[in-house]
Amino acid sequence: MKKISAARIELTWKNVIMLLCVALIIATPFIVRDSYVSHIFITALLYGTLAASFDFGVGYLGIVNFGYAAFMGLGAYTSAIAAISFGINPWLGLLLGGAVAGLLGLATGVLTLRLYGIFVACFTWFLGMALMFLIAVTPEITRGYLGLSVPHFPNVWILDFTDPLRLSYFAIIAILSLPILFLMLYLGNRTRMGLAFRALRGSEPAAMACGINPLKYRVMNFVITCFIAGTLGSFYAHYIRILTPSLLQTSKTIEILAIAYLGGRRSLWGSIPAAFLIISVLEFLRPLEAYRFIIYGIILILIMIFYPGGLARLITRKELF
Amino acid sequence: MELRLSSVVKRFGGLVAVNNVSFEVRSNEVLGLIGPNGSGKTTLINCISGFYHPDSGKILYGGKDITGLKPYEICRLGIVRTFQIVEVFPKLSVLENVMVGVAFSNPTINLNEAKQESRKILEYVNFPREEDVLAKYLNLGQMKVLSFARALVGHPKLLLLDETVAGLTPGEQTRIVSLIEKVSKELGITILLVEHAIRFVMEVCNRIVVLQEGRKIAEGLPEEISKDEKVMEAYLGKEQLY
Repeated sequence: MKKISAARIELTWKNVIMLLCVALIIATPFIVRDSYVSHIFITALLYGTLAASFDFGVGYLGIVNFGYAAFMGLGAYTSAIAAISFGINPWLGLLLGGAVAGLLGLATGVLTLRLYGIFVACFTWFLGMALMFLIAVTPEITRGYLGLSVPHFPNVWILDFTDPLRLSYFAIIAILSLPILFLMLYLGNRTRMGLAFRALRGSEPAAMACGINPLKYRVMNFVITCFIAGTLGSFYAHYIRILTPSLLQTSKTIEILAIAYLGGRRSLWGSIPAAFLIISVLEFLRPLEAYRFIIYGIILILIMIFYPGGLARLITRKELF
Repeated sequence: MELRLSSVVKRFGGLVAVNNVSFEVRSNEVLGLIGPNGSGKTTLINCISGFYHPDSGKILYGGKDITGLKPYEICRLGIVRTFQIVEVFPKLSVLENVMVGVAFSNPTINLNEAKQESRKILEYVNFPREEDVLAKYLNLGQMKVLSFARALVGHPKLLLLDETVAGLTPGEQTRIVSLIEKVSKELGITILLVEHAIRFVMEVCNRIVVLQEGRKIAEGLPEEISKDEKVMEAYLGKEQLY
């Protein structure tokens, strides 16, 4: 008998699949033999986690951060410039990038999260564009469109970051992304703060009547997502090792949004398989050149029509994670 | 503590919704406020609970003037109201719905304690379904019990119930009746009940106040009200009230 119930940890299809995914991620270094494939894996895991974090805002509080790529880019440039100009260790750069992005998130959040819906989307969109142009017009610091060359992570222990297979990078992104994912799930479902998020999503007047301050919790959520974006951006900087302002452009945010929506809003974890799917499909269709984006668009539209709940709802019928 | 309304008036432009209404709700009693549609019952509740500011007159609670206080200030005084349109959190479970009330009325409580407290409240109202059912899967009667449970969070002293049994089957009404009686007797909560269903009101209330077109036209015990001619006239077409 199918019991309609809320979140519990139990033996379900979803948990089995998640376990398989984790196992797959751990097994990857032994499977991958080609730097092209490892690039796909790394990018997919990175963007999947970014999308999950984006979804933490959209799915839990309905905040669509249309400048999300810019926060990621801000973290990237922060860590890069810190390493180049100040000799700051890239490992520290991860935290630094997150902190800077988080602080910007705090400042803008406090000012603008009194707004709702499309106004937040518009404002964050403009903010993202402003950041992108800011980076482009300060080539003295950022080298603008000429491109900023970024050092790789310093080798540590058994991890060799000069390895062309880039397996060490994969290890790092896995070590970053899985805890980030579980952290968000924990915060969203097992803490008082997460309860506030879900109450606000359900019915804001009722939540206010219970004593929840909407602005406070919207800002908290926003800062968390921005911090994560910054940290992941820092990783990206030391991985891809060349940065240009186009990293911050709106189309990158839309890619993240597409992954998040395909994965299933509010599911968080769905973004990871969605990222792998989208990136693999795009690469697979590469022979079609520009036409592949049309195919990609059609597939996306079809999925949104027939499976609006995304991948996560395909696998599990539970409404909540 | 008693609630006393003195000459309360509330206008909306040219329309006088509440016209010089005075009565009191005695400590620990269950008072019914009835009247045809548009008689000003919900407006009066809104005035008492701070959602509207009366144009003139006073509302005293335990001797203290609460006229014109904001809703959350009134809430802190122990006065809680329910709404005609039930506001539950649809995607949260029953338990979480109550937990929201518990966790955020008391900033120092941690989630586990909030859970225990919520379970106690759900047990007290004899909630008819499992605690982990999502609120959107409840039927109307269960939702009303849930919002009643949420109203009990924070141990209120005065409950303003707005059309609690609207849309409920007789069986569900009976459950609400026994809940109200239980809460009144065991917890000593004073209750002001706005209602349409006259049979329900007759059953549950100690005294009744009748409004028509913003004015009070009768006040007294249920038996008196059921024989009152003015009241029967107000409810046109009803030859008997039972």
